[in-house]
Amino acid sequence: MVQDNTFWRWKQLYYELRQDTEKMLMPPDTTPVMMFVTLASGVVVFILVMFLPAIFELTNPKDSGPRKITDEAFDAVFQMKMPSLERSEETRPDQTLVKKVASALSVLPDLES
Amino acid sequence: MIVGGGCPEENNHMGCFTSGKASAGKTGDNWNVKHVAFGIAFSTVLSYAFLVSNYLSIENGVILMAFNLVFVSMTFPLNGALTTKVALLLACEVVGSLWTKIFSLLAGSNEGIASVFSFLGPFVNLGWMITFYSVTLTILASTGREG
Amino acid sequence: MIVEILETLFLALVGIMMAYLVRHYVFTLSVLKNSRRQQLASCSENTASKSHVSILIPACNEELVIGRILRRMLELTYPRDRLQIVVVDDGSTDRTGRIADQYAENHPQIEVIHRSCSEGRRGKASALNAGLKKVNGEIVLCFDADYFPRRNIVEQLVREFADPKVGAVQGRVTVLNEPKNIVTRLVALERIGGYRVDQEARSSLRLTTQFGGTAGGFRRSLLDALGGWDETMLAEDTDITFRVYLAGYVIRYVNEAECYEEAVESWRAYWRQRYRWSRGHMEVAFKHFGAVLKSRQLGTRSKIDAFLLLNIYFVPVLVLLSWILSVPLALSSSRWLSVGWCAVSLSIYGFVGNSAPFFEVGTGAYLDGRKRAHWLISLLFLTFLYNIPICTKALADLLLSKILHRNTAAWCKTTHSGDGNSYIMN
Repeated sequence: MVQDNTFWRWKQLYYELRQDTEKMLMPPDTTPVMMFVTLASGVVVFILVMFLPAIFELTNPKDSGPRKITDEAFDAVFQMKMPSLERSEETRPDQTLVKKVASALSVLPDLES
Repeated sequence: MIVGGGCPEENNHMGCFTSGKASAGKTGDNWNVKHVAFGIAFSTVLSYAFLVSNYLSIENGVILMAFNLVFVSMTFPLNGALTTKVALLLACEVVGSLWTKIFSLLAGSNEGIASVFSFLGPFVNLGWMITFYSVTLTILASTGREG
Repeated sequence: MIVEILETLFLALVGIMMAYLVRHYVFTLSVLKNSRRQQLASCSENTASKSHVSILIPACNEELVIGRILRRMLELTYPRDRLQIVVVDDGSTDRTGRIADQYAENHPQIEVIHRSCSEGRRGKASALNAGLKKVNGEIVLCFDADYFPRRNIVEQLVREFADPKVGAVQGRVTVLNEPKNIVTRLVALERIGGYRVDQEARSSLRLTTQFGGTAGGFRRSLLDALGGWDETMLAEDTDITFRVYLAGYVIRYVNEAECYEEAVESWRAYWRQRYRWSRGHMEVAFKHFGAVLKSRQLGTRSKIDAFLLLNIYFVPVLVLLSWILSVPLALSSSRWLSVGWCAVSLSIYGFVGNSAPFFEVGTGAYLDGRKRAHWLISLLFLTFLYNIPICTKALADLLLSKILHRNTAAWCKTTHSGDGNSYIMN
């Protein structure tokens, strides 16, 4: 019985939190100006999130190619003008972020064992 | 001698074109069938949970399910630990569900916004889908090489 | 009543888009499944063929790049006594002919055909047919003047002809000037999706592999039987693709047979190139539509894939039509709009020519070992949106030219800057 009460309390708390969140996110009265601002903010956020990796790669190309075609006897040698290569020893935020995420995920328990 | 294709030390990514070295772009000995099967089962459970909990509308739930299918079938066969893939899938689920929830709440606030979002909705969803898919490939390529 | 008709039309368009989506999904799964087998195959020893091979290089005002490809031809590992290189200087007004002549003077395997402005300049197909009269090889390969192939590309391509059913082969095209700007980087992504996954899947699933006009070749006997290239077609490569299949042969794609190309570097050049491709492809669609459906040489699966391939450049027009239809459907609160709208949105990431859905491009980039190139995938919708007016205009112009009986085949070539030379050290 005690366990049932606890469960129902948690469920009630969850629904209250959900309603409060929905109230917070829902503007009470939307005037045309507010509607425009809401729309504009949504569009800006959408564009930013959608194009963030592309912006990273365009401004600081780490993989701009071209794909290297090698021959059996010798490698085709390319001259590449890539300013980012000169700073490859510096720590880039996006580069370290990916490595950090990868290393964080690697400590999770192995589901296969 | 400058070579092409990104960072110099990572230039040797051509697999058999160079000296028979294994490349990051492989899909494993048996196509990771177990990973794919587990991924499909896991994503089905997640999608069912979302639909049953009424957290998302049926429409948004279906979009999430479709994304799950594409994500699992395209990324789970690739190299990388199953843990990594499941974690990335969970991250996509969280972000995706939050994304669709926020936009549906905004749409519910006003009829004008609702009509605009119902029109732009699928395009808006593509935003997070493609971004996360791209980043997932990068993470799997990094972990696959180190693993 | 009108709403029901519009709904039916909208759902039909959605059905077409879903068919392409499923097709590309199956292609991607197929390539993922077979990628390891492909890598083992590419490691195997290449045995030198005994076939005599002729290489055709049609060129019109290519002085900036012709020297590069001829130098590369001399570096090919195929036995020189079985290799013939024929340059067709098709009415060039620059130094293309002179540069080719200099190479021909010092290297007997290189021959040059000069056509005057009045005789030539009637399109690439005409130039290729002129070169075909001069070749003596059993296998004829074609390279555009701006290309830079692997040294053993001839062996890679020729070995496929050991199968008597193979009438033509197609190698892989890789963008050389990829780092130049956003246009070249997006075109490179398109190529990755189109060749590494799309062509690879079609070849391995024994569907309709496309000859891309360059970095590939044919059996000489088949070319003679077909009468060479059709000089009235703008997209002579697509036309000959379907003629090969209708003749009962197949085309194989060889992923290891890689060749660099110079991609277009501006949106204007992109427009001109894709306009030519889409108009040419639509022309081929009108020509071979019935023959493909009635063909007894093609199996059911091949027929379906050939049909989808034939009509791929119409898809952007259909997407535009679906957007137009959605307006009255939205106003009438049609329930079918929300059902089908997701498929329409996904279609903006592919289904036109070299373009492919985001998962196809991403998979191709991953299999190539690329780390961050696929971060630009989200920008591919820009190229697709750009392709909508291109394909719409191409269709309108084609229909107009058909009505007015105007021939369009002429040298509408991409101008090559030779900037790719800076990526290759001599």
